[in-house]
Amino acid sequence: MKRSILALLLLAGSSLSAQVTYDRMLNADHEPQNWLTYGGDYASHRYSTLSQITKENVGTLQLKWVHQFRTLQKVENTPLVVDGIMYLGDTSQISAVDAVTGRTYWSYNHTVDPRGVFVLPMLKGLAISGNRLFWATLDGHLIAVDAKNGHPLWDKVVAVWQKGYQLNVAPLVVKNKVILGPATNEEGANCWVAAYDVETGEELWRFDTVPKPDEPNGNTWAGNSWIHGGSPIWVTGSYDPETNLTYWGTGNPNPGWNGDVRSPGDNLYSDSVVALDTDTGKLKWFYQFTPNDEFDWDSVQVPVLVNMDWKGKPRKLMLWANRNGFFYVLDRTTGEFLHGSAFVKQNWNVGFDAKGRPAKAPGHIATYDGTFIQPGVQGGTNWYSPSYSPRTGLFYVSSWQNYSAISAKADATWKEGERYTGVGKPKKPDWTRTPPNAPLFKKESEGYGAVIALDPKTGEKKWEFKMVDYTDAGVLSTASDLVFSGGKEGNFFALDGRSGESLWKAGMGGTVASGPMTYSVNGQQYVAVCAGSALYVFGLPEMKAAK
Amino acid sequence: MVTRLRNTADEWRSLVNDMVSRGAQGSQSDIDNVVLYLSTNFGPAKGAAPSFTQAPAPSAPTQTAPAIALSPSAIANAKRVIAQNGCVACHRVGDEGSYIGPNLDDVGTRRKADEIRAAIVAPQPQVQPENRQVRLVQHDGKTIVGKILNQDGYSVQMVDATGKLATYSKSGLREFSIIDTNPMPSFGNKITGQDLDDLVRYLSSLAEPGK
Ligand code: HEC
Repeated sequence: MKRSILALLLLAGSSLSAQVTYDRMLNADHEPQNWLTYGGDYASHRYSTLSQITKENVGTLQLKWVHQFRTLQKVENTPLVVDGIMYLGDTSQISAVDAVTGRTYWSYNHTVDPRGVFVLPMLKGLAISGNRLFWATLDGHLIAVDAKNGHPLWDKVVAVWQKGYQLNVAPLVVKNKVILGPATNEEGANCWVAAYDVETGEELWRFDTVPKPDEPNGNTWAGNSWIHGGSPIWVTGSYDPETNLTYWGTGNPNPGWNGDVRSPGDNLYSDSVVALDTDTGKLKWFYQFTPNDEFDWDSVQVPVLVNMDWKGKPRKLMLWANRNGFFYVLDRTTGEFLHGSAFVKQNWNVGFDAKGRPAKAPGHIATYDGTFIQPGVQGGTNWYSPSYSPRTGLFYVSSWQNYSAISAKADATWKEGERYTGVGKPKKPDWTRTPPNAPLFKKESEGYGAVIALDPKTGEKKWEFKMVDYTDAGVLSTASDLVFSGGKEGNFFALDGRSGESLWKAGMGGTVASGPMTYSVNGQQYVAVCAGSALYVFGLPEMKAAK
Repeated sequence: MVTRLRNTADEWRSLVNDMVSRGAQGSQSDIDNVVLYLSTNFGPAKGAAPSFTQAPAPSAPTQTAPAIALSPSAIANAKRVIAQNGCVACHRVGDEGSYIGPNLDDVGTRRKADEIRAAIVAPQPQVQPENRQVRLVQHDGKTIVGKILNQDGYSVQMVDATGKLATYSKSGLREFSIIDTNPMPSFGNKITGQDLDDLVRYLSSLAEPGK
């Protein structure tokens, strides 16, 4: 008896002291019980080798516990799980909770400056390195917190909200660096990706997403428009140890809906993916998805890195379903454009040249009265994490089908502390938007949300799981070929990853606008997702009684 | 269809005149009513067009009470018109009626007198999204029609004419179709003169309790 208690203590002690090292992060797939980064691993597959929950038993999933956040905002958080402890948070509080019971170990609060007005008041997640958690707060602080007791270790202001910035990303930790960047509140504040020292918070390098006129590609902004070019960061990037590059998607140029002041020019590096040397922050390559954007098509999608045969040769690829409605395959070593095909109805791009530059359809530009543009403002997809399953070879992504916008511009003048959007009021209303939480009288032709499975080799849609309302939910896939996702309708569901057939669902009573994740403790698999302003954890019924 | 455009009264009049010249039937007062209806509901800078951005989107009535106080006889006459024309086959008025069309008990807070008149004499061919109906055919062939209240990928919530609320699983259906044609016939020829005036003034006076 005594001996078993001692053994238990030793076991518990060892797991408590285990540090999340770079080596563990590199080999995240060796410890599928844990979820160590926003996207599950450095390649951001949001795929787990856990397979206890299967197509056969997923129908019996039960709610195990709920964590209520202290916010009325929808929560976009993907929690981390390290050795039975879950780390999660909203914009004002982060917590460590027991991953089996949901009981809180500690919470740490940060009061967001109440004078700040933020376009995206949410927190997508935390990052961990060693015993340090990293929290990027809405009002621009990067805070390192001791994962054992919630004690702050350092707190640096890395972006000044008064200048139009906010932070909402889960940082990415690589070696001794915490990597992240700010978003602008559409205030035309120029953004960047930067690396900070995990020990001290000191800035180690910075890459500006809008170059100065005398820098390479600085001539892609007309006149002085570069000064308020925006190009924000608001979704976590990926990391490839083989090339030592970190990849980040960038957001729209400012003013977002009126390109006049920025034209002529592509407005680099807005709406692009940038590949940066992780040690120096130097730009290795970039690819711009939407040159001179006027439709708010941020390229803030999670870069999904896969090694795959491409036309008979093994290649290091990057898969990317973009807000502009196209699915891309790029070579992630060189940035070479390999494939681009629409996954939703689109009318703005009539084709790519050999380098992957889109040819804009004539007349499909923002006008004062409004132009019919497909996809709409929220795009074919948005920031929601996609998933790649190496087992099915499919790329899963949440999409907005049959969706459009009447893109109208207005004159835009930059003023400090004000939105700099150039957004106009269309003469004709936009039919495909539903007000949040409105009952759904919609027909399919008026737009619908869908999880789709794409074959990355061809861009071909293998299946589609239709909802009525749109979806802001990420997708998780597992080694039992399950796909988990949800949507604005408030359902969280499991699909057959090979056919798209619905196998299980739960009504969550609130929008699912987060990326689901999975973990296991003591051999029991759990699936967790945020819906409304809470986190819900599901597991199989035959699981042992909770602690 | 032209219903999804916004035009001024003059633009609507020229459109309607154009339709008349191409063979659309109607007396001058019908045409006036149509122009009135179209320009009140689809005029510029008003929120009354069927719109997902603002559904349901009545324009704020400038006055909820009629200018002249309704006499008891006018109220009685309006109630008689309602009863004789079978409005309660679709509408809820007081404690009676059905649930297919919008409840008229508070129509005075949602619609101006002109809009109410237009809805009666020249109902638009397509209903507002929130008044859409749904037709379901179950695997055994049973057909159910009702007003759609809500739906998701898995199920649909509806109310039938009798007021029964029910949820149907979409997987149990052979057919699911949303109907947006307006079932309300025009009463332009049946309700006229004093009857129409009384009816419009009476409906305009109806407001939700407490409003
Ligand atoms: C066959 C069903 C039906 C009958 C009979 C009917 N209506 Fe309607 N009515 C509707 C529907 C459906 C609508 C909604 C139309 C829309 O969405 O544009 C409507 C709309 C209205 C409106 C506008 C209400 C609003 O909120 O916009 C009024 C007023 C109205 N009806 C009055 C009447 C009166 C008075 C009668 C009897 C003389 C009548 N209706 C008979 C189905 C009917």
